Amino acid sequence: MKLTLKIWRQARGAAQGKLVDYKIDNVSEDMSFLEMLDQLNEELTAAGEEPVAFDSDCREGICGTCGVVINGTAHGRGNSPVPTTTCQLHMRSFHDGDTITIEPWKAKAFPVLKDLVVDRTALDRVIQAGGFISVNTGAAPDAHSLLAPKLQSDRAFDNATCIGCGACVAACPNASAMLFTSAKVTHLLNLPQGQPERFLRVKNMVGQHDAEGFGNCTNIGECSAVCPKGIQLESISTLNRDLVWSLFRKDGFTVA
Amino acid sequence: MFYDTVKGGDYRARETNVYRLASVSGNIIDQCVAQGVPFAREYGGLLDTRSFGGVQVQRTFYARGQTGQQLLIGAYQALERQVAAGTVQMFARHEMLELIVKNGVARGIVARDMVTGEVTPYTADAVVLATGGYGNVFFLSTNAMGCNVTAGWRAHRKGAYFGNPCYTQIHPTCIPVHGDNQSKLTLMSESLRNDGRIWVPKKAEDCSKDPRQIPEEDRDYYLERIYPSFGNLVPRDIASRQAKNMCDEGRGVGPVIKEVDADGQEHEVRRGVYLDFSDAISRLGKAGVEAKYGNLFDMYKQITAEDPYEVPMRIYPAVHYTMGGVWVDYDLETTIPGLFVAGEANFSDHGANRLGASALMQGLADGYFVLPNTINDYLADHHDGKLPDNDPAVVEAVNATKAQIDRLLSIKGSRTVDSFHKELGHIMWEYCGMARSEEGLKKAVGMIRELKKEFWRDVNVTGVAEDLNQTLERAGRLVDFFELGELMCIDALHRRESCGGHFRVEYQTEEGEAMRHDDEFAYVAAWEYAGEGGKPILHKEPLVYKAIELKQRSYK
Amino acid sequence: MGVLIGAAGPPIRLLSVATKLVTRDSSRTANNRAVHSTVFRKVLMAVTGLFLILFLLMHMFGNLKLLIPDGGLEEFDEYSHYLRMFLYPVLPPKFFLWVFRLVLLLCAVVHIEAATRLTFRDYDARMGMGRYLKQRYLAGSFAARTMIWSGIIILVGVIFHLLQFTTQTITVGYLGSVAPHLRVILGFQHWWLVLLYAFWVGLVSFHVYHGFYSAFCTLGARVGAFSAKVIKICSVIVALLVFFGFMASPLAILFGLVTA
Repeated sequence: MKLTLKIWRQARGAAQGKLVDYKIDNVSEDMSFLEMLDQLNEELTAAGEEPVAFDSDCREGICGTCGVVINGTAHGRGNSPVPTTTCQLHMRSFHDGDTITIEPWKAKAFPVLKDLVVDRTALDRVIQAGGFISVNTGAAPDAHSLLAPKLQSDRAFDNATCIGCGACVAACPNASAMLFTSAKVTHLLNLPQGQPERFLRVKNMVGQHDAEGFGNCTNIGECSAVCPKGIQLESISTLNRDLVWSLFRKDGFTVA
Repeated sequence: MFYDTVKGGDYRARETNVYRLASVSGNIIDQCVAQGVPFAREYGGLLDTRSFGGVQVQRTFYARGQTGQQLLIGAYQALERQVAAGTVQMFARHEMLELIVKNGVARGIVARDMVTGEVTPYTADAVVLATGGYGNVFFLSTNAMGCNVTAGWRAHRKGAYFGNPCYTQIHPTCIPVHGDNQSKLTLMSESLRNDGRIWVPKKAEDCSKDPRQIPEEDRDYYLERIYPSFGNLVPRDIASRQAKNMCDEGRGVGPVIKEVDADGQEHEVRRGVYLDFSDAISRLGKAGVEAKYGNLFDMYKQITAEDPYEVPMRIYPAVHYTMGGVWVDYDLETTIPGLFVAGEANFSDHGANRLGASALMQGLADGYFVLPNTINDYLADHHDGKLPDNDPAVVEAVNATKAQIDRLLSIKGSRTVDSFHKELGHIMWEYCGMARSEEGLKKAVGMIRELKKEFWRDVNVTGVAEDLNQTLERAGRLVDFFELGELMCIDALHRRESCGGHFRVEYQTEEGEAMRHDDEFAYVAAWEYAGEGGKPILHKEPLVYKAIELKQRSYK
Repeated sequence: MGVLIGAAGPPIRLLSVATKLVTRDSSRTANNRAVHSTVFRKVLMAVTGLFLILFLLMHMFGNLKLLIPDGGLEEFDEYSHYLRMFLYPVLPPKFFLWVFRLVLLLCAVVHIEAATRLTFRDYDARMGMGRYLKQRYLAGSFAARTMIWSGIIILVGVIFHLLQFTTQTITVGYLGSVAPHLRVILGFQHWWLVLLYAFWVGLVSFHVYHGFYSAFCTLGARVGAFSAKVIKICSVIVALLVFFGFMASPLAILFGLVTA
């Protein structure tokens, strides 16, 4: 199929970029979206132009490296029948002759490095603020010494599937990373080993989230709609509740 | 588990290493659980287990179909904790391009900031490489796009031996290739083989039919037929090779692909076999199958636009893991003192073939339980003070790195980096893939050398060095892949036996099983770099089995 | 990518400062950061918003007294009077009213202050207007994305409303000061005023629709798919109740069902 692509080009260090039009032909519908971009880059290189920079790694939807806004929705969710990452979006979701607009994640906390590549280390720093369990190597007790109720650990799992791709931030009209933060918080608070640090964790992570310059959540739901892993707004609600509870607890206490 | 791993590795692993791996494996689970990895639980709250390729008992802890990913996230969170504590400094988007060696001892690395293009030396008292495998030498593999051999290969060029480069694991349950522009193969969890049954049509003329129209008696469940006790759960190398055999016999399924064989003859084959869940669906119900494999089924449907609840999946083997890597001793130290290599980047624990779930185990064991002890031991004897950035060894390494970058950028030829990489991948897959022959490997070595020459003559690397330049990154990695590919072929050529992931067509039993030659080849091939264009020097590390008796692997 | 471990030498080097946490403010305690967080502001907004909704519903029941046939008008006036004399003679006259008014005012101020801050913050976070050159929304309702605009118009409306019915600075359909029910009836006999109020009340219910839902989410009541549905349904009911409850009297007056 034949397509017209409008791709955001932004030089490294430039404050602004712009959409540039490209034509591409012979796109097979079995190709993934990124393979289509690969093909474009091959053609651009052959023509002596600088290829479009974009991030990708695993290309099977599990690493969270890739991610662009396609036709106004993060990961092209608006074109895909199912929740997806950009690498798992396939060209059969588009039609011959379509015009596709491709833009990077845009948020103050995600500065554009070049073209479609953005810096998402802000999410790392949110994790650094408390998204872990403080256990040193070798000091772990037997895994069976802590029993975890099945359904609750399933819920922890649902939230642990977050790959930190940043689509929630890109889609949120407020550029809030609450879905990400809450997924991490909800993952750990549903596990018995996450309890001791539970309330301190939520305070610190929310504090870091804000410090990074993300917006606030207004329960719109765009984030959840584009989330490739189907994290629900319930996670944010859980985080909110825990934050309120945490205000009535001394740091390092689970029960007041 | 110790025995399973040695046997699965086709008796080409170092026994002591495997023993250590097996003994710390329980601690790994404890550690990960404590770090918050949400392993599957039973209703009683205990951890759930299931069986996995190459083992007959349910002993693998799991987290739905994404155990590896969950372990990774757990480790990542633990790492971020250390970053916050100030004990680890992260350099995201940096790539190691050279090893700094001073007086024969590893004293740091040279890295390029992939955003600004700045090349900086980082000196240290010891260097650890945990840089993963080199499956991307095949271009198409299940490895992530960023996987490369550069760090390990640069160390090799500086004197570290490279162990068993030819041992490559071909994973049986991947989604077949769809076309020329494919960039990446997708692996589906091997757990699918627990409930799915693998078959091909008995008659070649059935191959184009809708699989649902093929009656039961015309299906050949070949793994169950050939290996009655392990059935669909045979180790990966066997499952892969049998799939290839079936397709070579003309009984493959899926779209017809034109292939050129070693004699230059073009012929048509289908590359795929069915993985059928209809029995599982009738046994467990659709909901039961969905609960176990839902995410994998969704993934398959997303990629192929076929619904695996209705139509059997099509699978085909793909490169998944490289058992070879930088040679290390029991302390994970290479032949360069002060350089340690962990995880897939080293060669140590899997022998000629790796069992399911043990890559994670090895990586975590190396990082959590081995290196913290062995490095301390090394550091106790080595404290030479800080190596200044203007030391000749550092300056030389930095200049070499910059020179290569400049050389790549100055060629300005006509071909793209990826076109070379694809061609290299084709050569490797054809001659150094699932079945290797002396004739093919010799031919491959010549072809790779030719291709490498053409690369240095005609590649077009766009952009500049001081920028985020992904073409440059790929070109630099490809340079090392060329040299590695050649060494892989040389290693495969010298190892005149079949074992695990290395299958030489000349050395097989009458039934087509791998035939080892323990008297001649029960050793680790550690190759020493002999300079640009030089002939690599072979060092042999004999494998001594004290606890386990060497015998022919059988999964019947 | 290589992981570099520096060790030995002076041990301090191992502990060299990690990735710069430029945004972390160590002068605050965790609790302090939590209290100053966006989430806490939202909680304040949720609590004050729900209180304002509660007031709205109470106000609405009072209004509906106008519709009671035979004596409804007197009852309306009495209700209006009672509000002023509530808890008299325990407390001085109008004391409760003023306390109530102050609490309402406080709620409104807190609500608006938090909303303003958060809105500016969000504007900054998404780097201003025209974020994506092509934008498409998948899930969020129009109401959810425009809370700040409906909020601003509502605020203007509230001021107008108070000037008209409480202070009688603006009078419609009469001059001077009259009994409460006359203020309403004489005013709403004008179609344009009814239209103006319909627009305003419409916006209020629009705001309430997402506000009610959002408040419960923020307070952590949304624990699963079922509770999400319950909250959503309740928010629709409350929004409809507000709209029709408030518009019933003006419409009845306009169509002459209620006359002085």
